[in-house]
Amino acid sequence: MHNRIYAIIRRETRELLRDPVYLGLAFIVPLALMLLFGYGLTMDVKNIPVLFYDMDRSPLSREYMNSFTNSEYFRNVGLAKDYKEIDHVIRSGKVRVVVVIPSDFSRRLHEGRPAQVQFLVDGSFPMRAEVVKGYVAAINAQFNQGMVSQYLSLKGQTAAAVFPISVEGRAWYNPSLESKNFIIPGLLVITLMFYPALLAALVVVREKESGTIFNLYCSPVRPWEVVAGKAIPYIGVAFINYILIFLMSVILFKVRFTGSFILLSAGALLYIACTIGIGLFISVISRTQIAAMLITFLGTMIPAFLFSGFMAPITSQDITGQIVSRFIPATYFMGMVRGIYLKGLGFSYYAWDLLTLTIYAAVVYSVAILSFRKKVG
Amino acid sequence: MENIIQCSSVTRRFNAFVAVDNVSLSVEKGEVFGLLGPNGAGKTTLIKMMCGLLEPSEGNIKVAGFDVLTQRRHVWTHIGYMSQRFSLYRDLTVMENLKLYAGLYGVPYPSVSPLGKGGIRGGIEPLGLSGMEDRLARDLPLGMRQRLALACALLHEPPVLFLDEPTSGVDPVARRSFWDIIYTLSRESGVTIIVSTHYMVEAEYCDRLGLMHQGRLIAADIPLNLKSTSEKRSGSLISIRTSDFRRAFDLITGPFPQALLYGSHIHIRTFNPESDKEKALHFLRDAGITDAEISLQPLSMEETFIDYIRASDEIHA
Repeated sequence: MHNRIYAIIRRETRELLRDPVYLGLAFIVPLALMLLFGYGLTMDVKNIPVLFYDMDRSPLSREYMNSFTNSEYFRNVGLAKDYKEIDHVIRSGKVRVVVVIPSDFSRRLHEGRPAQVQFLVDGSFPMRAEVVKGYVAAINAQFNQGMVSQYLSLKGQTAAAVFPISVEGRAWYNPSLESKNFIIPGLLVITLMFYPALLAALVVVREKESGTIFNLYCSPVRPWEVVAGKAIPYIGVAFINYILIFLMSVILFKVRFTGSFILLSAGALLYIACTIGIGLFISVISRTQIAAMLITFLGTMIPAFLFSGFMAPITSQDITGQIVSRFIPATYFMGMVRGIYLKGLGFSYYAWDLLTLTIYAAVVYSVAILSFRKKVG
Repeated sequence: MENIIQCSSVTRRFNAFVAVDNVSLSVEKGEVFGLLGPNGAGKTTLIKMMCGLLEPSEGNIKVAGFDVLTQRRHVWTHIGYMSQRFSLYRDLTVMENLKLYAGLYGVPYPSVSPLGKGGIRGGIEPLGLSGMEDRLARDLPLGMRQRLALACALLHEPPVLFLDEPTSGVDPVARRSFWDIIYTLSRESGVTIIVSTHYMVEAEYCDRLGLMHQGRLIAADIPLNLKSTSEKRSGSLISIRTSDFRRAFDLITGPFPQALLYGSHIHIRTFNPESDKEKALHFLRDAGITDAEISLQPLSMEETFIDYIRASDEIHA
């Protein structure tokens, strides 16, 4: 028995090591994915190109404009000469936001009357437009507050009389609210869902295509021995992938890591076992490598992206989404990864997730083994 | 002699298509049993069922005393299987392939030395693989790969060996030496060998032949008996050779509608070879073909096989 598993493990390992291209891909692809997504998928809205149309041209209007460009959120690209120019720059995408200050801006303010400022935003990307709206409102409020306190101090009063409550926000675990602290650990989960499953999805079906599967069919080897023999080397490969991605996240992306590496690795090992198991199951039931790849892509990458809580919290999904999320191992590992990275939570918080992943793995391997029929036709 | 393989009324259907149709067959221990038939005759399906890879729709099969349906694992330890599609791992070396097989079949490690003496049955001298231990299977010439596949299939010393078109695509010299090995196995080690082929030459090497056609086993006997039965049924064979064989063939199908063209020879099956020889010669001479040579020929396996197919088609038509 041990002999048979060992024979299969050794064969899979040999095959992996023999082909340098394949071996290279096994390790480089997940790192490349991390690089591309890690740098590309940032949700921070910063350095938004803003154009001002200042019809007032007063010290006060200049001060108002400065309050925007002094923040890291906006980047001044210049002053508009007329409305036609505004239309053109928004259309071409050179500018996302335009602030129009009317000619009576400072006059009305000095007279103690309210002034109106127009704010135009490119709404073709609603999420960004929403964020920008928030920024503008906040900056405007701050400017108002500054003006009011200045006015009151001239009259010998303090601002507290007019603004009794102020909000002091502080974000725990991710003080600067950097999206990378959120995205990169999430990407680790997604990559380890998709890529190990993809590698494993090819190992059995490849043998069906080449005909070498008959070596296994005709021998006394048992289905569970085949599945175990093929899973173990790939779990090894995927675990190395995990280590590399982890190092990349803390060294290259400088993601805050406050928790226990041992606990994270234990979770990763179980999680990888699940995703390899999913891949093997797909491989066992598929007839061609192309089919296996497509099924894996649709069955792992996409659900992991949408339903694991990677982009949006699971609780904000509808009931279907919440049900789907329960069936993908990424959901359980996602919570662990974020908690361990940012909050440094310990084992007691994750005993349930670890148990769930263990049960998940047990089910996936049972199904894969039962589906492996030593039969043709 | 005991029957080491026993197929009783075995049928296999794939939806409406009947791949193997009510085949009953027994093979004795140590026999080289050939399955001869055109592509699609059901040879591979039958072999797969005997190996326990495919369930018969009806009937049952016993191999080495074990039922292939209920005792598959026992069957697998008693058989070696080598398929028409070269199915070793091309990315592994010769030695790695052998070691994998040793592992899969639980052959103790130190005795894995099929390239030298021992290990593989004593009767087999090295399969000519020595010196190639570290070469990748994909770099071997086809004939060598076939030998490696055979070495792997024999590693656990199975009493029954299934060879599914083992020599297709192999050159005649390599095929010849492959058959030498098969004979040694059968005669000196008592291995029972079931081999499927569509090479007539190979068919003649077998102790017994099963002729398959459209899923049916239309005959199973020693090659000599198959020929004599065919001779009793359809007569002897006379062969006509002439330079103008095309015109001669067109003409001769008048008086001899059973005539067939084999390359540049015309074959006629007849119960009256001597008189028909004269008749054909005169007929051709009258038609202006003067160089015709007519001779009585021993029945070839091919001719025999085609005669059997014809007879079978007549029955089932």
